[in-house]
Amino acid sequence: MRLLVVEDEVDLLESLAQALREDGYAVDTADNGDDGYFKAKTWDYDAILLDWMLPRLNGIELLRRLRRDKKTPVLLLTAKDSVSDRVAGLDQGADDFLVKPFNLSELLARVRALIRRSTGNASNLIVIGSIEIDLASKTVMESGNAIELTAREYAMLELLAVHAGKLVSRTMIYNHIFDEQDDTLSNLVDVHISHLRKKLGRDLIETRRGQGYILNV
Amino acid sequence: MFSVLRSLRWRMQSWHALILLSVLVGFGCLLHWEMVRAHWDRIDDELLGAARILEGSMLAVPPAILEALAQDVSMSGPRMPRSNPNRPRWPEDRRPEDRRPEDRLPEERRPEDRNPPPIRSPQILPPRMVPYRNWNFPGADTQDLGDRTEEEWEASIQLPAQLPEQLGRNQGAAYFFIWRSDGSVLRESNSPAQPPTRNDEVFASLQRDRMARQERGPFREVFIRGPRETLICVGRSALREREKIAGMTGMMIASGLSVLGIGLIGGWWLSKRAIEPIQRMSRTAQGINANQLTDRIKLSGFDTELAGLGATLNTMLDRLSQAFEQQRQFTADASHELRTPVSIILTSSELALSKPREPEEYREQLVKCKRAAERMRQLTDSLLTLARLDSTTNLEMTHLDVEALLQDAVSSIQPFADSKSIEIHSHLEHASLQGNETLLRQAIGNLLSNAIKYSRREGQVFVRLLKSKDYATIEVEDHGIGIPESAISRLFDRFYRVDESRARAEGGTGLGLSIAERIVHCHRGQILVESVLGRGSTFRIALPLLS
Repeated sequence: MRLLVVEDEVDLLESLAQALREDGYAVDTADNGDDGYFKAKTWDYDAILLDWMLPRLNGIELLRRLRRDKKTPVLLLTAKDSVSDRVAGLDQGADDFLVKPFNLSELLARVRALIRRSTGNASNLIVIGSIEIDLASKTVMESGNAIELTAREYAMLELLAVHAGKLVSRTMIYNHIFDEQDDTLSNLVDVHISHLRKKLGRDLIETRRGQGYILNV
Repeated sequence: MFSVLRSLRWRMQSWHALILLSVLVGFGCLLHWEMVRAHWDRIDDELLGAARILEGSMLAVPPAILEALAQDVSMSGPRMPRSNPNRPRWPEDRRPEDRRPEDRLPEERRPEDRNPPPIRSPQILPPRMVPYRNWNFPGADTQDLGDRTEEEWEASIQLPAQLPEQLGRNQGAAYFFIWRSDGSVLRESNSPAQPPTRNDEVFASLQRDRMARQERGPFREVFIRGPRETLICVGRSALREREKIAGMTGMMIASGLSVLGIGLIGGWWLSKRAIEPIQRMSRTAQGINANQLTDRIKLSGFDTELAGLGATLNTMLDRLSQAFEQQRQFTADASHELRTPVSIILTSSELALSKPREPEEYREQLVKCKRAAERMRQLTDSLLTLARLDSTTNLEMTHLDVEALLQDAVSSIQPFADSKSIEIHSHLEHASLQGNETLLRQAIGNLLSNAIKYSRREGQVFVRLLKSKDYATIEVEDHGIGIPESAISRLFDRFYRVDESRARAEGGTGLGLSIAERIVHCHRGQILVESVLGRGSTFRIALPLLS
């Protein structure tokens, strides 16, 4: 899952990005409104964490412009806490609202919920055949046995699982698993897929030549 | 009850009622008095007319005597008949020049009295009337009886037993009495009333002007002096007039009361109309409170005076809401400024604690926490300074050497200037004034650090102290990035930053200039700024030398 964090306080931006990466997300950052808008428009993020007060282009204006052609879920972060501010933020197209200062664990939970809702899942548990994926604890069980996955492998499985039964293209995998800091080579996707197949069984992930992968339900 | 007295409407109504009542009463009394007088005058005129007729009748001479008189004139000239000269009369009635020669006192006698002027021939006039006397002439009291005796004259008088009906105009029968000078009745009519008895007032007034009037029970009576010392009294009942007057008085009272009633209702309605817009205004004003300052009193539909009041209230509300808005903005800004470092501390520490890490990673997060805490300290210090300045009315002032203060401030900022290789040039005149050293040092320090912050590396900053007659002027000039013109008006606003991200990076709170401005204002001074974008800024503080 790939996120964009737009925040003008560099210290906060760095800490947030690090925390989200450690939680298994690919994270892009922007420290002003213009850059944030450009990135948000260019890539299909799974969610955007947006500060309200930004130099050059403020968060609300950014959101208003973004909503013309993107449905990316947006979590608005702000020090403004009045009811009218929240209403204004949500009305301009924000999907959730978090008042600074916030708890990191709450922020992570809200990001999870945001992504889950946007993919149409009601619960954190995805069950495909004998495999259970817990999105909250990021663990995978097969017939009751825990399976050890690396962060990248898990991210890839999660991406395929939330789009289970649908074709997931290689571009999509690149866009959602790797962030701007990664310069990973493209054949690494095949390596991760083959690792997943080894750990979870051959038939689980089907390859469509030249198109991508499908997780069979 | 107390509240009724304090009510404008009730007071207006009471005054209105009082004025209306006094006007009505005054006007009614005048009208009533005039009406009564007119009535009595009319009766008196009637009665007087009747009395004059009676008098005329008494003066009428029988035709036989008239013929004899005419013959006498043609044969032997006129005689000057004199009645009994000893008869008592009222000589004091006549003014001396009006007295006939023979009546004059010895000292008043004139030369022509010896040879009296020839008497003119009497004219022949219609029978029965002799223009012997002018009846308007005061003091007429004698009559020529011709050859007749008193008794013959008395007997020759022909009077009606009753006054003609039209004299009384059908308003009660009129009657008369005629007395001789000795008080005996000469003639009287068939009277419904007893003859009047002697009345001193009537007598006194008869002495003066030959006519008197009196009211006796239900009767109105007029007295005149008749010929040959007689006294004529004509009277009639005035009962119907009295009834009429009483009726009209009643009507006047009734109409006065109804006018009063209508006036009061009208006044109540008027005062309601006058007060209604004030109440409307006060209802609107009640709806406006600290949370709802956007409402304004609608001025359309108010009269000029009230519209003025409304406009004044609206101006006040504008200022109030502006002050509230500023306060609200300040609180929002302050909380935002405080929340940001708190979020950094929370996020960094949570991140650091989320799993075991390398010492270098902990260090990195701790540095962030320290920076955030530093920022919070700076912010709270600035906010406290501002709060103290806002609440202080009189500062602790001492005698200050401004020159030394500036030298001090420059030397303490020198390390910061050196870090950007900036040269500070000072030109200081000597000046001293009453002021608060700590605060002024802070204000100057803020200007100096801004000047260095926004100067380019290896730039120059000029500090001047100029003394004029009344002011010490401190100038801090830099050749740095300058301030856009649009930002100058907001420059001293709290938390205002010309360039948000740059100021953050430089570590400013957005309060430095606000604090400097407050400090200067507390010293009754002025702070001004001149700036050209890209060329640099000059801040000028003028402090009065005499405090």
